[in-house]
Amino acid sequence: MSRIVDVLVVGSGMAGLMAALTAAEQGRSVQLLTTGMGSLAISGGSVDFLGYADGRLAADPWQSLALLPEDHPYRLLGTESVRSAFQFFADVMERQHWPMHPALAQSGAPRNTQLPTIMGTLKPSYLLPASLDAQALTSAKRVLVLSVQGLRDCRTALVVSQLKRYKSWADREFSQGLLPSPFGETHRAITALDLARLADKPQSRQWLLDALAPHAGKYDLILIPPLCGSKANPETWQAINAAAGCPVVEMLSIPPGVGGLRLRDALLHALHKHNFEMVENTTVLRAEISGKSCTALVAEASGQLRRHAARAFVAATGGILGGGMTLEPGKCWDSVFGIDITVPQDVAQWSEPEIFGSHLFSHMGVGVDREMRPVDAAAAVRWQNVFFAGRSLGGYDYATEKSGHGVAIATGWQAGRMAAAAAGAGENQ
Amino acid sequence: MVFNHRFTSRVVNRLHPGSDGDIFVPHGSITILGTTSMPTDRPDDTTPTSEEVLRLLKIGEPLFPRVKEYRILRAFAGTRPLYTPGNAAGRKASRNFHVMDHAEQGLDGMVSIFGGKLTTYRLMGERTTDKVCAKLGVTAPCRTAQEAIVPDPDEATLSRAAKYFPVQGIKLMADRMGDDLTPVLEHAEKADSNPLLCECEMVSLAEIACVANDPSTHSLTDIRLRTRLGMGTCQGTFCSLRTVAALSEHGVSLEFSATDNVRRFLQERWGGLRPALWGMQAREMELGRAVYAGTLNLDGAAHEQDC
Repeated sequence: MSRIVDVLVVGSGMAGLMAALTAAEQGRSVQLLTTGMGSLAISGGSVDFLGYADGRLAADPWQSLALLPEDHPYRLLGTESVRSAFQFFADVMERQHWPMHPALAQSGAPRNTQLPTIMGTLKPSYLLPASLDAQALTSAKRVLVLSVQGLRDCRTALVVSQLKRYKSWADREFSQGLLPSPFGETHRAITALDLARLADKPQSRQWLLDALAPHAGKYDLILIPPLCGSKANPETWQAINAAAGCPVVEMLSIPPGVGGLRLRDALLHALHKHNFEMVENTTVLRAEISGKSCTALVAEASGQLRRHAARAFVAATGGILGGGMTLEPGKCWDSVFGIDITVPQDVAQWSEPEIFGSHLFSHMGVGVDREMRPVDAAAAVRWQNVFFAGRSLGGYDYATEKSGHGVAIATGWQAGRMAAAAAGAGENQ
Repeated sequence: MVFNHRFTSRVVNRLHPGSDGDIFVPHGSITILGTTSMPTDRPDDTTPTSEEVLRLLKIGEPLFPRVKEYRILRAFAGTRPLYTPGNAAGRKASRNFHVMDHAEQGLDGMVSIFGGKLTTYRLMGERTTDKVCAKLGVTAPCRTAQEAIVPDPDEATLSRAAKYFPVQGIKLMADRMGDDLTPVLEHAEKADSNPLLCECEMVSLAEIACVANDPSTHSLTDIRLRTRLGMGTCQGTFCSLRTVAALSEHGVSLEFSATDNVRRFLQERWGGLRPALWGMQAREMELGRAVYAGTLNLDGAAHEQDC
């Protein structure tokens, strides 16, 4: 391609899509390169903002921000920027008819919500889709837990026995049920995503409505695996709730992350209203640098090398899991720009003996300034038009903090804004 | 150390005096490279180190020049008692076993056996009982070398099993289950369905349920040791949840609660992942943390359940 886009984004997880959308809404032309599906393919569809800070459960995540270390991305951005980023995200989702809101405490302050999982555990999360009735989770007495025949990942007996171990759920009246599989007898194991795709269309959704009908009116809440559609289409969950006669809440599940696909669907719809192009199945190999600027990225797709020129660049490459950081014995670097990330030579020091401990590797990442530009050891900006977002940044552990999508939204927004501004400056030169 | 794929069909061994990193052993779908050895004052501490992994990779390079690029699953270590009369130590100590008649030390009627390993247990048994029988005047020949402990399953049993188990995995399962193959098969025949719970190692519900019902099984790790559950690429990320869920559904209770059991299981796997925390397996491990900490909040649940 010969044309120069304003902003080139690498990665289609939450951070990449947010950066792309922020830049696109400012009138910039945006191209996005992605290898795979990104973090949204393993996401439950709610936004974790900050579940735990300093090892403590964060009831009000805004209050808990102050407990984070200074190099945490939220602290780097500051509370007001994080608020603006969340507001931007909320506005986008509202316009896509897939509103995402926090539940409110009695005081009216936004709070985290403890979401049930298919393991019967609870996880604190923050922004919830409209389909998720947080009030019902708190107040429901009669709870029906449902799964579907042949769905290996969700067994109601486990969910019920585990939920009862929490004080907040111990006194509920639990019932269990198993819905027949719409696929009938099959040799292939079914996943929640198979079922969710069926639920996308009215004709193929009917089995679910029929299966729920006998339970209507008997319960205050139905917990179900994430099968209520793979698209951000409110009609799907509305039909399902109507058939059930009570709120139907999906449990967070191991991949495939059906709920995350709905967020991805909504964000891509929003992006396609702008000057936006997504190039899939392509892997960025290296950057072309000229002085204090990046001029292009070289990517490989189907065995062909291609040069993608742009005025500004956002790397939202997903850290270790996304392939945005490469680890070798004694070494760590970002896979696109080759930025060396200082780590101890001895790999034994990278991790703790306890699996969910505070590992060094889980905090490893690119160091940036407040504008999300990578900086060197002396805190000097490396390039004027390169910005990082999401898990390739250092200083936080999304898994134990429950902060993955939240940091991605905040840093993606900031990187997108700054890249849009840098592209504008580049245009004027 | 264990690699994620089988890169030879036969054992590749060096012809030189015994030393570290001598041998690549294909085993099922994986390859093992080993070993290193060192004397220990702490026989209960079998934690492998990164330094040992790196040493093995270096030694392995002349045989497989790109071995550093191969995906490493994990590293493991074990403790092995070596005994050589005359106090030879380290690599010089014999890997053979020794049957000792303590009559020489004035303890008549006492026989000890030292060293050895699983692959020589029957020979060890034979030599020891021969010595004991000689004292007792028993002259019947030991038959252990001629008798199959578990006969190979016949064709009829295997084709019966093919209805309920993935064809590629039947022989593996028959080898793992031995005498228990028939109960596992009967379990599968009675059940509504027999889903694969561990796709990496092709372990299905019937096999897991039978092992879980064994009185000597207390944990997911015990199930792993009999079935290879969680020993493949995902190292427990998908199968450990499915297993506790299925056992819960079938009313099989283990010693620990579901959350504790999964946590202990992943913790055990983690010990072998840590020394080689780089490359593709580091990504796999991050997926595991994303699932169990990020999505299922197993770390939080440990402090929030039952209180």
